[in-house]
Amino acid sequence: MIVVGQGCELNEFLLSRLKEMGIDSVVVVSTEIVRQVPGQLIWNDRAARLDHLFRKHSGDAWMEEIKSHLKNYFLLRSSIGETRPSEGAETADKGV
Amino acid sequence: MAHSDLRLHKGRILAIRDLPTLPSVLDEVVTLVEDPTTSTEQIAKIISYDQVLSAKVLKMVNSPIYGFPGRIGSIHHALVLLGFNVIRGIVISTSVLEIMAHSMTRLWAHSVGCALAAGCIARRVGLKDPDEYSVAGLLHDLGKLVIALQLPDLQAAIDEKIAQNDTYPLLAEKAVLGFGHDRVNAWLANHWNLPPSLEEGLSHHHKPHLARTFPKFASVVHLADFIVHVMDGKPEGKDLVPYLEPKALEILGLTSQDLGLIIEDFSAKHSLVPSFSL
Repeated sequence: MIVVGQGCELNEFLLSRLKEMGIDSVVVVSTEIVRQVPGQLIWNDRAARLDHLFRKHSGDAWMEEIKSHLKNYFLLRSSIGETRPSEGAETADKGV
Repeated sequence: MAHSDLRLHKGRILAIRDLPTLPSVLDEVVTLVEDPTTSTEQIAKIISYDQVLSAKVLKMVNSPIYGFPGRIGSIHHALVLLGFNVIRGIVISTSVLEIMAHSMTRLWAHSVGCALAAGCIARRVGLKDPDEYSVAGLLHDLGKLVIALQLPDLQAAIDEKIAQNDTYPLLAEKAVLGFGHDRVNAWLANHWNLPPSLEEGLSHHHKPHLARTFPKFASVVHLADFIVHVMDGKPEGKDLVPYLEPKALEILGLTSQDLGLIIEDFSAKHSLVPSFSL
């Protein structure tokens, strides 16, 4: 039974929805694996969701300043992640 | 909101039968602590008589929250390292967190995160006894648990208001009940005779600028709560970050530039939390 259409990203939100539906295992049919640097993805995600989290504070100069600081920090952490090899890549190369 | 309704809700909140009960050993220990001739060994012995409680306390003190993973092997050792106030807070929180972990897992995860963040902030600021601030972080949303347990019908109305109005839990609680979980925290702290610092940390974590006696406690919990909301909020859900009171940073001698350093400390510890459970 196909529960998720082709092209959908299997993210945390989708997994939790599947769990709520009582589905306890899935088979992923794919010919493509996109390698992400985990740390970079997390920090990028955090920067991206700040607008949503701060939506009640738009127009408040102080909270806009705080949001700006946080965004800059998350993007900086994300860029640091780009220059360092990921742990996953290292262990993969070592055949772990 | 009629005054009679408010009194009725408060009465239901404080109905003792269903409230999390504190371990009876705690009363005995508090009496001992008030006697200056009591030794740490005597206190440890009393707590250790309750083996189930002792196991829970040791599990908690060896968690990432308190920074001594796997190194504390006895209640006496825990008392020496962390002090009585922290151990008392842990004894209280084990009773509460167990209920949360089973029925309100998201609240549990948020509370543990806040405990971590509060400890990081207290250390970064150089506050004495930083682990006491972790206890405050751990218990800061205790009122939400009690509202859910004692007023399940009204909790449903609160949840509906949050969803419909895209608003904060505290505002929804005040609209439905006439009071928020911070007020419930104050009632519980009084009911359990908690230390005044912990009481103010719990009751003023949304309004730290109004804390009179222990503004640093309230400000640490306030900032910790904010950081955890920033770090754990999901883009799809109804998560909102609370307003960050600028006075809280001022009280702690911090600026907005310091947030990154605190998040660094927090992230490092938070990565250890998934392996921790009650």
